Amino acid sequence: MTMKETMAPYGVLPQPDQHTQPFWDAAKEHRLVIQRCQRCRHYHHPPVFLCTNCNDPKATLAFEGVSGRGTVYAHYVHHFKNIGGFEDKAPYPVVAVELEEQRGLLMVTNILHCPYDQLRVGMPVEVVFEKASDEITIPQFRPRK
Amino acid sequence: MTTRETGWRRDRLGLRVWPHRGKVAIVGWGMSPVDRRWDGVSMDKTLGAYGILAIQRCLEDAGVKAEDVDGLLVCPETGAGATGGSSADWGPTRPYFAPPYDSEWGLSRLNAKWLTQNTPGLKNVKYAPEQVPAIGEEMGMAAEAVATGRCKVALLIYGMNNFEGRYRQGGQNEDDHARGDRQWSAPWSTADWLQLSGAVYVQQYCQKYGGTWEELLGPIVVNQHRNGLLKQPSDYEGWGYYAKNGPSGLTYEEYVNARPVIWPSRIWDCDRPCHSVGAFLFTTAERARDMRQKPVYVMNHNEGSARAQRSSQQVLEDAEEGRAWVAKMVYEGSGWRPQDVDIFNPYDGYSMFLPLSLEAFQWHGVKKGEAKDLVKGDISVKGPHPFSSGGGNLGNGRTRTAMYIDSIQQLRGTAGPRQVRVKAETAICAYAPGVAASYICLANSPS
Repeated sequence: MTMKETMAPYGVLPQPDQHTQPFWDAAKEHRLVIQRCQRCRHYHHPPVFLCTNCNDPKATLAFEGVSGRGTVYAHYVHHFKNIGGFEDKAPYPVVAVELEEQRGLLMVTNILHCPYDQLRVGMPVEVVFEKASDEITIPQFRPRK
Repeated sequence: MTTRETGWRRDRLGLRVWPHRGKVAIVGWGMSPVDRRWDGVSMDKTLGAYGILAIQRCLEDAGVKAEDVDGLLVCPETGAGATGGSSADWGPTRPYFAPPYDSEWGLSRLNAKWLTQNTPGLKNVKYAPEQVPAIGEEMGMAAEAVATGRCKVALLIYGMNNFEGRYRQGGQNEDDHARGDRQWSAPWSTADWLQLSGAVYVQQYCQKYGGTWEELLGPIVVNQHRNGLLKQPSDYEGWGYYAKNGPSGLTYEEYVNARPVIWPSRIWDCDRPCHSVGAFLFTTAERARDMRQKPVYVMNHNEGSARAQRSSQQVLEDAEEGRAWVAKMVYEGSGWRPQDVDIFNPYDGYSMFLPLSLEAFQWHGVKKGEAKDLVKGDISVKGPHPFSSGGGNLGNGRTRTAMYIDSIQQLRGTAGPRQVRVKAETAICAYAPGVAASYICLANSPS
C-alpha cells in the first residue's frame, strides 16, 4: 500500500498571468477561488475569457471563494517516469475532483494521505495547500475527515 | 506554397454527400518494415530509405510507374517523442552524413523535396503541398486533390519516427514551468490529457454502464494483437511491429497482469512508437479501372476537430457527444447508415478510444453503453462482428497505417488469414485522436 503525504518539492511551477493571478494569490493565502460569471453564476475552471454558459459578452467574470470540498470524479496512478520534475515521485496519484459547488466543475490535483488502493470514484475530499516556492502555493486534496 | 491548404476540409455538419463520392480510388499501397527505431548506422533503414521502399512497393502494387505520379503528399511531422508544441523541433543532436543524409530530412523526417530528389523516376510531380497534415487528414487531402484536378495520380506518404529515449520525454514535459492552460495540469503532472481523459471517461463509463476497465478493454486489446499477427507472405514483412518482432500474441491474463503505465491503463493500452513508412496511391475512378488492382473507391472524407469540453478535461459526456457529432458528419457525407458499414477500423492510439467510437458509429447496432456487451462475444475476424479487423496501432505498432491497409485489403478480398467471413463491401477507417474527426469511407463499388 502506497500513499503520498506530500508532493513537494515541486519541479514544475505555474506561471500566473494577469488573467489567472487571483487564483494563485488566493492559494498563497490558503483559499480556493474559482472564476464565476457574475451574470449567470456559472463557475469556470480553467478560467475563461467569455462565459461559455450564458455567452453574454458583457458579463463580468470574477474569482469567488468556494468550500474546497468535493468528490473524486476519476483517478489514476502515474507509474511512468517520463515527466520532468516528477521522475522521483512515481508512482503518484492524479485525480480529477468534482467541486461540490457545481456538477462537472473539475480540478486536476494529486491526492495526499490516501492509500492508492483506497481511491474510489465518489470519495469525499477536501482541499489542502502546499507551499511550492515563496510565490506559489499549490492546492491539493485529501480524503475528507 | 508555405501555408497550409485548408479549403478542401470537410469539417462540419450540413455539407451533405461528398460531391466526388466514388470518383476517386485508392489503387495501391506499400509499407516498409516496421522497426522500433533507427539504429543510427544502417543507411538502408533510415526513414528516407523506408520511404523510397514504401513508394516502390506501392507503385508495384498499383502497376504504376514513378514517372506517372504528378501529386506527392508527405506529412513532415513524423515525431513520436515529445508532447506539446515544441515536439516538432525536438530531436537528437548528432553528426550528420554525406548527402542526402546531411540533416534530419531523410533520417527521421520526410518531405516531398527529399523524396522527389532521392526516389528514382519521381520526376513529374507538379502538386506537392508543403504543410501536409497527419495521415487522417492527409487521406482526405489526397482524395480531394485528385477529385478537384490538382493532380491525376497522387502518392500519399506517411512516416513515423521514434527517437531513442522514453516516450513523451522532452518537449514541454521537460519544462520546469507551466504557462497558459498547462498551469492547470502540469504542476500536478498530468502528462497527457488523452491519458487523463481516457481514465476519466472509462471510469465514468464503467460507473454508468457497468463492468470494469479490464472487462471493457481487455478483449479489445487482445483482439487487436490477434488481428495484427494475421499476415501472409505477400504482406512484405507484415506491416506491423509484432508480426516481425513478436510477442507472438497476447492473452487476456497477460493484459491484466501487464506493467502499469498510468494505472489502470497498462502498457498494452498504449500503442508502441515505431519507425516505418506507408504509401498509398490515389487516382481518378476512371483511370483506376485499367490498373492492376481492383479499385477501392473513396466515398467520403471528413476532418473535424476536437470540440469544447466542459471543464479542465474531457469527461464521458464530452467524449460521447464529440464522437456522435463526428459519426453524424461521416454518415451524412457518405450517405450511409450504420448498417451499411461492413469494415470498421477506428483509431486506437489508446485502447480507451475504441469502445466509444464503436458506440458513436453504432457499428453492428451497438449503442451507448453496449460496447461492453459486444466485446464479451466473438469480435474476431472469423466471427459475426469482426471489430477493427486490421488490429490498429495496438496490434501493429504506431504506424498509423494499419486501419487503411486492412480496409483496402478487406475490400479487395486479399486480407488472407485476416479476411472477414462477413460481407466486406464498405469500410470506415480513421486516424483521429480524441474526438477530432479524420475519417475516410471506402467501398469496392463506386455507387
